[in-house]
Order: sequence, then C-alpha cells, then structure tokens
Amino acid sequence: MKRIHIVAMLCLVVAVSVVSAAGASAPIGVDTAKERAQDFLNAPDVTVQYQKTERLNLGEYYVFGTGDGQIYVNARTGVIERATFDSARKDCRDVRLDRAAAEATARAYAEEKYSGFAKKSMQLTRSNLVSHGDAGSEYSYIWREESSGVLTPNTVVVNLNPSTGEIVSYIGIQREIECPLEPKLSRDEALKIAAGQFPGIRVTSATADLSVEYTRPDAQTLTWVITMRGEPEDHVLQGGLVVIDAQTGEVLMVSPYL
Amino acid sequence: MKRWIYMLAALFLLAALPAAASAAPLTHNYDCSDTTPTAYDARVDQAAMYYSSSSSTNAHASTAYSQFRSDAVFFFNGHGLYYDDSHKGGGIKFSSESWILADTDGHYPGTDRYYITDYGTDIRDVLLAVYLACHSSHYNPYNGDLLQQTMNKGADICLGFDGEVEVENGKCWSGSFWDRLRNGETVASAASNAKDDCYLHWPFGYHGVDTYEISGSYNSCLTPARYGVY
Repeated sequence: MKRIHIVAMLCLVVAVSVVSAAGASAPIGVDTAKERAQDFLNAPDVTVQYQKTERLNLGEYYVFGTGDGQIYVNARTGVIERATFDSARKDCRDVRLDRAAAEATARAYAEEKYSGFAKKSMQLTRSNLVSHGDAGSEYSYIWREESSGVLTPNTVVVNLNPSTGEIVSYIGIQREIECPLEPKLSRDEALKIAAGQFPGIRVTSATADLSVEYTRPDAQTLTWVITMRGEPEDHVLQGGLVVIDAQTGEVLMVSPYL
Repeated sequence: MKRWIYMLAALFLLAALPAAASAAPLTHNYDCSDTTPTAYDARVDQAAMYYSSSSSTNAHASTAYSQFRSDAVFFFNGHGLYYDDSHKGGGIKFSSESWILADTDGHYPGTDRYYITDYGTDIRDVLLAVYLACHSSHYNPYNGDLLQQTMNKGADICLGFDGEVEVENGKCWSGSFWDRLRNGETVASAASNAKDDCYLHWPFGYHGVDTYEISGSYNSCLTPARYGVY
C-alpha cells in the first residue's frame, strides 16, 4: 500500500514538472501578445493588427502593425523585443539635441522598456549620430551586457530623432546565458584563423570580440567576432567579418567586404 | 457574322497582351561579388510589384551602363571603390575589372570605365537606383559622388552606403529591403527597418548597413509600378 502511494506521488511530481516545462516553452498565443503590444505602446486607442509570425535563430516573434510601425512580441515570453515608430522619423534633418541630451533620452527609454536595465552590466558599445542623407539623421545608441569579458545576447538599441528626441526604433533582447563563457581559443589564435580566410591579405587593423551568438535556431555559441581590414587590391577594400567558434576553432562565417 | 466579330475581338485582345506586358517599367538587378541570390530575390519582389524585372550575375559594366537608360529601378550588389581612407567611393565594380564611376579627375581604376556624368538625359526616367557597395554614397575627390551624379542626371531616388558593408549583412539588408518595399513601405522606412532586421541576425550588430544614405524622394513607395518623374 505504501509503495503504491510513493509511486503515485512520483507520477504526480513527474506529471506536474512535464506540464510546467511544456507551459514555459509554449507560445503565448496571438491574443495575449496583442495585449502586451498594446500595453507597451501605452495607447489603448491605437489599432494593433497581427501581421505574421517570424522565426529567427533568436526565437519566434509575433509581428504586429500599428499603422505607425511594427511591434515584435517574443512568442514564448511575451516581451516586446522590437518596436518601430515611422512618424518619429519626420523632421529629422536638423540636429537640435546635443549628444548628452540624446543619450539621456535614449537611456531613460531603455530603463523604462527593458526590464533590469540598470541592474545588468550594460556597456554602451556605440553612440553615433548617423546621417541618412536627405532622409535625415538619427542618434543611435547600442548597449551590450558584458560578463567576464564576453558580450552576451542581452542588448538594447535605441535610435532617436535628433531634432525632436522621439524614439524611431527600439530593440531589447534578454536571454539567459546557456553556454560556457571561457574560450578554448585565444584571441591571437582566432586572429590567425581569421587572417587565413583572406589569402594574401596585408592586415592594417583588426578587432576581436568574444560574443555569445545564436548561430543556429535557439542555440547559443561562444564565438570570436572578428573584423579585419587589409590593404586594397585592385581598388577594392580587403578583409571583412569572420565568426569563429571560440571552443572548437570552427569558422562559422566569412563575410568579405563589398 | 457575330462569330466573326467575337473572333476579331479575341485576336485583338491577344495582340494587345504582349504590348501591355512590355509596357511594365523595366528593372535590372546585378550581383557582382559573392552576393547571389540578392539580385534574383530583388527581381522576384519587383515582379510582384508589377515591374518587368530581370537579374544577372557578374555582368560587365558596359551592359549595366547601357541598360540603365531603360530602367525604372537599378540595383547593384557588389564591390565599391577604395584607394585609401581619404579616397573611397564614387564607383561600383562589375566583372572583368569594369567599373561604373560617377566621374573622374584623371584617376582610372580597372580596365573599362563608364561614367554617370557622361549620360545626357538618358537616366531621367529612373525611379530608384540602389548601390549596395562599400562607400557607395561617399564623395571621392578622384571619382566623385555616385548618389549626387545619379540625382543630377534625373533619377528620383538614389540609395548608397557611406561605410563598409560586408557580403552577409548586405544580403540580409537587401532581402529585407526589397521585401518591405513589396509590402508597401516607403524607401526610407524600408531602408531603416531592414537595418534593424539585420541587427537581430548573427552576429549581433549593424555592421555598416546603418550607414545607408538616401537622396531624393525618400518617402516614396515603389507601388504602383512606374518610371521616375522628369
């Protein structure tokens, strides 16, 4: 009799864990995602319309049109990981905001929309005023979380109108780290492998970053992301981007400059 | 008698069909590095917008230069011109060391060269020219400014890149850009959203696709299919 009770309890525990595990990875459904999109916009009168489901290595997204851009909702977590606001691009030719004001605006938006932004070790990896010619300019701010010298997938991008300070686009990715952060391949070894991908290159400069990337669907890989520039050949810039598995040394991508 | 009238009407319609098809605005798309299949994919998106589109790989500059005259849309994906950091841009490279250049001050890359500045009113019907190449929107003191020259010759919209772009991110940007245009976005919106699409592909980052520059009517769409205004 006791044995039956124990077996029954074990079955119950297994069943509960299976159900909860399945629940954790199950898609949230379009209707719930739509509510999240509406909440994110903080504008109940805006019509949010489902457009498509998009699958990236990073995960699956429900994409909604808002009439003024798009909202990407993570189909598993319900978190808004991307938003664009077309009307914010209007009148972006004049630069009225100085860099300090623009960065403060971008940071405030990141803190509002990205859960735990202030608590993570987010490094500002880029802050630029980018010109798009007649289409105006935008301030672009990129943060990446750094852990033990490794750039994690946790990133925030805020692009804003330099005249009005309105947010043009937002990206906010938040993931648990699921791969080891200690590389077996050293930086020098990685640079040597990268140079080998461009036979005859006379290297003028190179950067190498340890970065956790989604090189396959839902799978993280610790990589060396290398940008290598060489002297031109036949009036064409040499080098490009090379991504190397930091554990195995396997070359995952070679992407020469155009 | 009635039967004859119906038959004549049917024959008339059949004869009119090819004429209607050939009246669709022309587009040419060129892959000139390891960039395939971006030209083909762009062609498919343009065809869906009712353009009469075609694509090729490793074309000679003379072909592209000549076909440019009849184009509503011109798309190039390949190498840009680079001498050094102070002299870059102003040219796109086709097969056999042939180039289309904005202009020259006496510097002549490659073996065959064709100049935008030599066009008269030939490309005034162009609606959109896209130069997906390193430094394609950058002014080069030796060979001029591709975007500005193309606009001077009457194109409505011209898009290039000020910075360095590499093959894989260029493919990503191109695929997304043409797809978004097909879905009715403006050129400015498609270019901007395409760059954010690329950020989410590995490795994280813009890797140069955020340096796009647009000259002209950036808020236009490619639909309905048409030639540029002159």
